[in-house]
Amino acid sequence: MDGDLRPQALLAAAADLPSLLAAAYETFEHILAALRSAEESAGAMLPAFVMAAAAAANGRDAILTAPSLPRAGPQPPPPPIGGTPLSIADHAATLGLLLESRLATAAAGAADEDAAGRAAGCARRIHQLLAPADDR
Amino acid sequence: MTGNATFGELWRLAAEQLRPPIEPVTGDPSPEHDIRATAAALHRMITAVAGYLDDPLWQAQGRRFGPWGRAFTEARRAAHHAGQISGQGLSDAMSKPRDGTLAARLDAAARSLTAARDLLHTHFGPSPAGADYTAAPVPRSDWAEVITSGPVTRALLATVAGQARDAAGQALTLTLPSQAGKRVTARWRRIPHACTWLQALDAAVQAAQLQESVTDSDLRLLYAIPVHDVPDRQLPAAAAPVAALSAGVVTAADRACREERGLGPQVQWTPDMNAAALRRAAAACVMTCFHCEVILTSLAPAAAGAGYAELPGVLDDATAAAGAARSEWLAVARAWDQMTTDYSGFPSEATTDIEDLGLWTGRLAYADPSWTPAHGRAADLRPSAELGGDRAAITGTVTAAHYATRSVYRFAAAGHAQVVAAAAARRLYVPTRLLPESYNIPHRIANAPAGHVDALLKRYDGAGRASGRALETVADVAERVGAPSHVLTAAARATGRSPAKITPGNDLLLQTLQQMGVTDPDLLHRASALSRQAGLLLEEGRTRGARRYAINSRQALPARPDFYQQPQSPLAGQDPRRRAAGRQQAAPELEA
Repeated sequence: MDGDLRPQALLAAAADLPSLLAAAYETFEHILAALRSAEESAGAMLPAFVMAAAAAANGRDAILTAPSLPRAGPQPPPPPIGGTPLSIADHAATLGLLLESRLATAAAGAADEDAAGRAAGCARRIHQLLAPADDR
Repeated sequence: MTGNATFGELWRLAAEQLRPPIEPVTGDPSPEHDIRATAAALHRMITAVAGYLDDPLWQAQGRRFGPWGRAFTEARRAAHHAGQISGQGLSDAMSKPRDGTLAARLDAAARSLTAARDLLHTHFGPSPAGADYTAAPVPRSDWAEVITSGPVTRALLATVAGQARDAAGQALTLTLPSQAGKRVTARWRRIPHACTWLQALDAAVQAAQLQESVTDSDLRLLYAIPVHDVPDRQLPAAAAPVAALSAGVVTAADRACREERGLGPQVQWTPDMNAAALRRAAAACVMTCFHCEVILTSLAPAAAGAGYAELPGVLDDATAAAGAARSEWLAVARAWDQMTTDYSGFPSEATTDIEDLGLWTGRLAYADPSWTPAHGRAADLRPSAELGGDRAAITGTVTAAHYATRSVYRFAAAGHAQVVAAAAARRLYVPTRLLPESYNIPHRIANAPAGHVDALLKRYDGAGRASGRALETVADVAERVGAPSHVLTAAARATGRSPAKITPGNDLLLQTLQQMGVTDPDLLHRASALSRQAGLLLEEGRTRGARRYAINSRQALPARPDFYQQPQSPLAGQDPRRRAAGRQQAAPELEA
C-alpha cells in the first residue's frame, strides 16, 4: 500500500498548528481516496465505507475553514491506495483515531478551535464506523 | 400504513348514519318536534355538503371545461338552492334531535362530513397573508397535491353527491302527522323541496359519471388520505420484531419525504443544506438502496413458498433496479468528494431523517438486533422466513421497501434542486488542483466552473432515473402482493408525479437554460414550473384525446411526445428469464 505511512509521518512530524492542519487535510484526503478505492467490493461494509467517506470529506472541508491553515498552491491528488476492504477499514480507522487525538488537543483555545473540533468529530466518526467492535 | 385516521374512516361513519335503521325508534314520539329537528339536521347536512363545493381547494375544478366542470358548477348551484330552502325559519332552539331518530342520524352524518373535510385541510396551511378568503390554502404535505388533483377531486364530488342522495332518500321518508299545525306543515313541505335540489345535485354528478366515470382506484386513493401529522423522530429499539421494523421504515421514510417538501423547484439556497449535509444524504441513499437490494433478495425464497409463484422474477427485477440505484447514488457521493460549499456546519433535519431511514432499513435487512453501519464486519442477513413467512409479513416488508425507494427517489430531485440553488447563489467550490494550470489561485478551493456543476447535476439526474426505476419495480411488487403501499402509486398517477414522467433529467427547459449558462434563480425556477405545467397539460390532452379517439375512430393514438419519453431499456419486451440472464452483460448500458 504505497503512501500508507505518509499520513502518519506527516501527523507525527507536525510541530505547530499550521503544519498539523495541513497534515490533517492531507490525511482526510488520503482516507477518502482509500475508502473510495475499496467500497465497490466492501460487501456488507458498504454502508460503513460510504458514511466514513462522507465524514472524511466533511473533515477535510472543516479544516479548510481553519484560519491557521497555510495557503497552498495546486495540491497533488492523493496517491493510489491498494488493499482488501478489511485492511483499508483498519487503516482508515487507525488514521481516524490518530487524527482525532491530535486535532482535539492541538487546537484547544486557538482561533481554529471550531474548525479543528468539527474535523476531530469527523475523524472520530470514521474510527467508530470502521474499527473492529473490540477496538472502539 | 401510518396508523393515522383516514378520510375513508370518517366518510364511512357518515355513510353508516345515512342507511335506514334496522330497528324503528320506540317510545312516544313527538312528531312536530321530530319534523323541526329533522329540518334543522337536514340543513346542517346540506351546509356540510355545500362546504365541499364552496371550498377554495376545489374551485379550480369548477372553472374547468368538460363534464366534471359543468357537474361541479351545477352541483354547487343545487346545494345553494337546497340550503336556502332548508334554512328558512330555523332557529337553534328547535334543532335538538332525540337519540336514534332520523334527525340525530342526519346530524351525526353532517358532523362526520365536516370532520372529513377538516382532515383534508390538515394538509394545507393558511392562505398567504393578504389573500382574500377565496384564495387556495398553501400546501404543506405531499398529499396536498393529491387532494386537489383531478382524479381525487372527481372522486370527492362523486362521493359528496352520493351522501347528498342518501340524505335526501332518508329525509323523504318523514311523514306529516295528521294533527300537524300550519307552521309544522310548512316546515315539512320544505324538506322534500330541499331534497329535490339534493337529487338535482346528484343527477348533475351522475351525468358527468356517464361521460367520464370515477374509477375504484381513485375512490380508494381518496379514502386512503390520512390526517396530516409529522411523526416524531424514532430510532429502532434493539431486537424489534420485523413488523415493528417495517412500520418504522414507513414512518422514517414518511418523515424524510416531509422534510423533502419545500426543496422543490422554488428552493433557495439555505446554509443547512450544505455540502456536508448533501454528502451525508447521498451516503444514506446509497445505504438505503443497498438495504432494499438485500431485503428484496432475501424475500424471494419466502415469496415463492408463500404462493406467489410469479414473484421471484419480479423481485429479481426490483433487486437489480435497487442495485442500479445504489451505483448511481455512489456516483453522486463521489462527485461530492470534489465539490464543497462555503458552509459545512450542522446537517439539516432532512439529512438526519434520510440517515435514520438507512438505519431502519439496515435493521430490517440484517439479523443483528442492534445493527448499525459500524456492524458491517460481521453482518448476517435476516432469514427469508422472517421477512416473508406469511402474506402479512410479505406485504409489510414490501411496503417498507416501497416507502424507502420512494424517499430515495424524491431525494434525487431535492438534491438536484439544492445544487441548482447553490450554483445560482455562487456557493459551490472545487479544489484548485482540479482546475487547469492557467488558473493561478493561491487557495485550496475556488468557485466551481459550470462544467463541474453540470457534472454534479448529471449525477443527480442519473440517481433520479435509477431510483425512479427502482421505485417503479418495487411498486409493481407492491401491486402484485396487495401491499397497502400501492396507494403511493395511485397518488403518483393522480398528480402526474409518476417516476416515468417526472425526473430531474426530463426538465428539458431547465437544462436548456443551464446549458445557456443561465444562473438567475428566478429564471431557473420559472423554467422548472413551466416544464411541469407543460407535462401535466400534455398528459391531460393525451387523456382527453384517448377518449375522443376511442369514441370517434379506431385510429391509433399519437405517441407520447419525446419530451416526456423515458429511454427504453434495450432488454424491454424480452422474456424475463432472458432479461435476467442478459442483465449480467448489459448492466452498464442499462444504467448509463
